[in-house]
Amino acid sequence: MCYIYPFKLIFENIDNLKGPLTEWEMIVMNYKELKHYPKKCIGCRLCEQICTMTHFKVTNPSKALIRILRDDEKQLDSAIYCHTCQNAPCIEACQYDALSRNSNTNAINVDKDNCVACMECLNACPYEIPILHPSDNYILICDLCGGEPECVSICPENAIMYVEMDNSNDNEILEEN
Amino acid sequence: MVYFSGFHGKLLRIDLTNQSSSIDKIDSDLYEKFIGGRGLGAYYLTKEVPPKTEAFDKNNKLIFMNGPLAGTLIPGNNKICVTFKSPLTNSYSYSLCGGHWGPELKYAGYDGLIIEGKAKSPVYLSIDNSRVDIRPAEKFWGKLIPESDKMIRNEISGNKTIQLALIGPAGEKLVNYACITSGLYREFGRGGAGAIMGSKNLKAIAVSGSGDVEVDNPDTVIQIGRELIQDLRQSRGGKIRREYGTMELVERINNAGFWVTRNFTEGFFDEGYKLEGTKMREKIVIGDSSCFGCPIGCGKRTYIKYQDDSELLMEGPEFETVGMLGSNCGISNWETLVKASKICDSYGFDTINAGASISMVMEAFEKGILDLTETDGIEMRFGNEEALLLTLEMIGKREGLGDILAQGLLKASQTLNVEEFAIHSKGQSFPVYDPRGAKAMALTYATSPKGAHHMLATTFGTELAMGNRFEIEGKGLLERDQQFSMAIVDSIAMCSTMRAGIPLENQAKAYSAVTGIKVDNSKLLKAAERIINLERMYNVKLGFDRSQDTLPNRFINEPMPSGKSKGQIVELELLLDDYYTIMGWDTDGIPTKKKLKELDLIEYV
Repeated sequence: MCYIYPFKLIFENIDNLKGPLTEWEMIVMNYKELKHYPKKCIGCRLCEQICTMTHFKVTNPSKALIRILRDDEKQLDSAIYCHTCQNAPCIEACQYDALSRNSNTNAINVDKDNCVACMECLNACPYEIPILHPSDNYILICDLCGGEPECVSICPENAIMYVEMDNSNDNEILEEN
Repeated sequence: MVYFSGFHGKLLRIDLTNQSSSIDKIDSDLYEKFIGGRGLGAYYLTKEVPPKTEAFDKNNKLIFMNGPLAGTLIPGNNKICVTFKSPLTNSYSYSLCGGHWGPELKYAGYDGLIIEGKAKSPVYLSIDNSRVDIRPAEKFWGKLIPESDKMIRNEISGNKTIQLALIGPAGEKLVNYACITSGLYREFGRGGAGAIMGSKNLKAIAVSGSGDVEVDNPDTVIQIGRELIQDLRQSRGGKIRREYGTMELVERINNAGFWVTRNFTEGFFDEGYKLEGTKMREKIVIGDSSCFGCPIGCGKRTYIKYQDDSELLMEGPEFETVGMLGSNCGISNWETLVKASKICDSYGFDTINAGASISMVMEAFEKGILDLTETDGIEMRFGNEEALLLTLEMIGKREGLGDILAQGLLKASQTLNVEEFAIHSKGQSFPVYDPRGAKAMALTYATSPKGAHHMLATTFGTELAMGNRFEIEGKGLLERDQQFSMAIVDSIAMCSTMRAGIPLENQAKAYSAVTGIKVDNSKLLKAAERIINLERMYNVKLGFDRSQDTLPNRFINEPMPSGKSKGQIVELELLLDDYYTIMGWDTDGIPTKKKLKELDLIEYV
């Protein structure tokens, strides 16, 4: 039997993913997800920059689909990024058919023509991930760069990794952090 | 008018007297002539602040300038320069700060920010893209930096990406070497920019930006950015810096016998081995910390639990701090040095000048020139850890002896009548490298427009590598080349540490890809020379010449007593002759008309 604890390391209150895998979750096991390790992160924010350079051809952290927050007091850098939740409350919440699941990567697709920036997806998201494009009227959510995340490739510390969802290292990671 | 990528072409001007703001265009040819950052700072200070302006006069300005690479994917793109007339040296001054504040200002849409005038009562500035507010700051005034940082962040709630630059009590109370601090542990450290901010009643500058920084050729910038990150991570210098931060230098400098020891009475600290980077990593480091866009992460996160169960979790201390508060004061205990660093960071003043002030008193006390009546009853002896911590607090609060030391070495040594122990040039204290052990450093200290400052040209690395550190031949040329190298990185916005893996050719390549301005090495070098000459001319107008390019008597007349630099003195006059000739300056150290003309500087000076 295996369990998924993908978010526990930063967001301590999410326990509802514990338990035997549903059929849907079993299918999902083939997908990969992003995982950030705060203790490895040095807070250089190169991930934010490569993200906006590849998506928008500019640098602009407020458009970045992964964002690093520094807590000077705790001396810790943590990341905000889409966890591609299996139940995807954002898709549920969208009344405009703007969000869907990408079957290749498991990422959340945003149809910017349909999106009206009502922010219901943000309200539904347990991690407050979706961001409003700073100048246009639609939502931005990580697309996992089609399966080859640029943030992972540029991170000098391997602090953000693209890992199998049934990562057997979960326990190790929990300890480490 | 043609604008280049990497620049916005505008600066934000804040008039605190009239509580107003405006936006100035920056002429595009200025970018070509002065690059950005430190170079544009030199241009604006020369243009707008007459040299004779008193440092705390409302007509003095704080000129913050970003460089073209700031906020781009080119690694280490985070340095912003502030230029001002210094209260410490009464001369031209500039200071650079890493961290995340400079890039944020760029994302807010500004290449630069000029603060002028003086507010009637304490205020802070909030810049949220084009929205600029000047708000009351009475409730933050008097608060230590970590506390003020938190309170101001709470007041501007709901915005997670705000970056703050602020002053602590030291800046408010006009300690002449007060810093402007950003992100708690990054500073515009030297020359007293924090005191200028305090004199203007400005507590903090909060910035939040959500605009684009465009580059000329995004694909090339991505490619170059990736390559340079690899180069840095694989370079020997980069790897060592990554592991041990700036503390890697202790072993090299101490063993070569030119590490500040007991107020420069010696160049080798016998307990220095306890302070080496490997020891720091082993004893107190729990993680690493980077400035914006930097793959090195030289910042070291440290944690100490004390016997009384109190704890300190912070970033640092850095090499200069450990040298000036440690070996310079005869102290090798990490527990004390972390505490000492925290005091300086909390009140917001330069650890280098503070350490030099305290060691000056310690030497005078040990030699019987000062007694307990003049030191508020504190046994100011080398190695007295309690004395160090007490005096640092007193500087931050401007109490007793601390109030005297807060004036800076020049005035404090006059007040206490201990001038022979004040190790400074132009009023700026020496940092940790004793110039008797690396002769070109003497030129760095003596000719720097902002007084004895190592980052004008860190020649000691080359001198160690070349094995010619005691020689004076060729040092004028080395000094010039290193000054040019620093003027370039300081102006394009790149951290000097990046030079470990990014040589000038690659800096030029990156600059071209970002801006679309085709440059080669020679064009950047020419701009660097222009910047250095413009800075020099500001001081010349103050009456500075060769007679201000001095070193303390100690380095010129007292041979190094022990260690691997034993017997060395600095042959300053010979070094200066060589350097002035190479710079095309006259024998008084004044740039010639011919030189200024050659650099197209006549219209600016």
